[in-house]
Amino acid sequence: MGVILLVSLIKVAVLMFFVLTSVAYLVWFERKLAAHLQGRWGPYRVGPHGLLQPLADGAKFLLKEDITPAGVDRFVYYIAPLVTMTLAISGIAMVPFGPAEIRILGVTTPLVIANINVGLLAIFAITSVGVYGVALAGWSSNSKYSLLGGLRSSAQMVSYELSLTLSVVGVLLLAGSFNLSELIVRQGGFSWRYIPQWNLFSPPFPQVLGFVCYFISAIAETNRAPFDLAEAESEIVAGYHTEYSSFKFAMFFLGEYASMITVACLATILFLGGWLSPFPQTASLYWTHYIPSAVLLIGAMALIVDGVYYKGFGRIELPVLGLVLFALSFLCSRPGIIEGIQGPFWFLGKILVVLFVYVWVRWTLPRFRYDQLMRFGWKFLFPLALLNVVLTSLAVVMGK
Amino acid sequence: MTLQMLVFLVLAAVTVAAAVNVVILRHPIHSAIALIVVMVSLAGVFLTLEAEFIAALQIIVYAGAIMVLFVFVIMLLNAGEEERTNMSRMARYVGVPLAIVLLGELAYQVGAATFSMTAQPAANGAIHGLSMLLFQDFVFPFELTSILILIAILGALVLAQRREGVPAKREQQNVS
Repeated sequence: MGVILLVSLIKVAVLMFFVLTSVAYLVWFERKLAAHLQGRWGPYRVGPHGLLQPLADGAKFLLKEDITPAGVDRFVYYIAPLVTMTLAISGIAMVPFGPAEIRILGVTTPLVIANINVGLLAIFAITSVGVYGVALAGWSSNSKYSLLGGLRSSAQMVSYELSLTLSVVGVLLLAGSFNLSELIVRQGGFSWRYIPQWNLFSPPFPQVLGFVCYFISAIAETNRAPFDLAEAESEIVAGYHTEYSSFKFAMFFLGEYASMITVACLATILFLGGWLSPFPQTASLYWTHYIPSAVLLIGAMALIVDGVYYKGFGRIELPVLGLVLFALSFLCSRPGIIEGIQGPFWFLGKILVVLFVYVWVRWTLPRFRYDQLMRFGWKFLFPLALLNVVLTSLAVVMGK
Repeated sequence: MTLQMLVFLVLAAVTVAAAVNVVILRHPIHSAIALIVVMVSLAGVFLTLEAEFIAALQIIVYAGAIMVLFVFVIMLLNAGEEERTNMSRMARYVGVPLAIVLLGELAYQVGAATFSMTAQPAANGAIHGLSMLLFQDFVFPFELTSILILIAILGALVLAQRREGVPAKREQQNVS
């Protein structure tokens, strides 16, 4: 009992470190990608390629003056950012990162913190409560902009939660389970030998509609452009977090990016086959097991070559990082490790692709107007998700 | 005392404390937050009974949907802090004794029931059993309830659209 508790705590600590770091670097990724999409350089000053920018941002958030405006409802004002960040991070506890099991302190344990039977519902429960962070922050700040942002955001999140939940019903109908690991395992197999049977193209009824609905409502649910009316800077300054400064603001920031990661994880699990490799596991295609190793190798070489031509800070650091990657690449091609690394590699790869699209959408589409947002959610997205449920149910019943 | 018992006691204490706070806090938003805490810790109690499905539904439906509407309406109406009133004579001489009697009855019944109760862990988070009941044995009342809710929504819409002397339908055309 005690050892299991300890092992779980270790897993939680490792995952927390991993998630917080990746949230920080997701911000870097977004800024860099946005810049390149717009023909700019993006962060370039702090460290090579701006790689130390997240650390600088973190230090800045910690050191800035923390202002509490006059007339705020103190208790609610303080707990709102906490609620946002805690809920955003805790959803990731249900996400399985791979089929392999690892041994810590002599206990064999899967690559997931909480493998519960209703994992999917639990994540939805957590996201549905997440609206309070935004709503209460807007209300407690004693500012018209905050209040407007909070109201907009809560109305939006309640509306889009419906289509978000409905869009995954198709997947559940196909799989017959709420358990995230089981949902992934059911997506194994290939049609016509090479097309993987992920739910996005699974045989009875491909969940393309479901995926589109899911992705759009997920963007709305996480309050990101083109659905970022809650913080539309041209109308209401910064919306619900106008009055927040210093680390409280950073908590909202962390929360937004952490919930992006959760949503991307869910999209991967539900529609893109989770940790499953896109290649059939046959002997002639065994070389695909070396792809993680090859990717690391290419990264290592790129870093070393780039570092040699770099001037100033980074001339030594980048090649050293490259050597570390090189060592990792070597490790990943060893027997014993090569099997275990497949799941996490494909899982993270797919998440990165989803996040890429996420950022791409934000920097491409203009913001909705409020009435357009509501009309789109209720009169288009919701019926579409419902149609998907009906069609999938038909396909499942006919297939039996 | 087992770990489960400890978890239950903590959750129960939080639930009761939050429920008391719903009544005694003076600001509607604070009361609403306390009510959310009640809902979430009740979900925790369901978890200790291994009814994961019910726990998740409890949070999604009550904390995630109904209470959001409560908070939304309170925010929209900008309801201020409430004045604390002295109890009316009616409340003092009839309400308080009745409340005490009810509390005593509940405590007695619950206390009597707990000793003879053997909890049965719900298999697979109780999804299967619950859906069998809902969609097989009680499908007619279930559908009837949903139609009832639909009628209530439509009724609210019609009432909200109507103005003095103007039939609802024509008014709608003017709006759009």
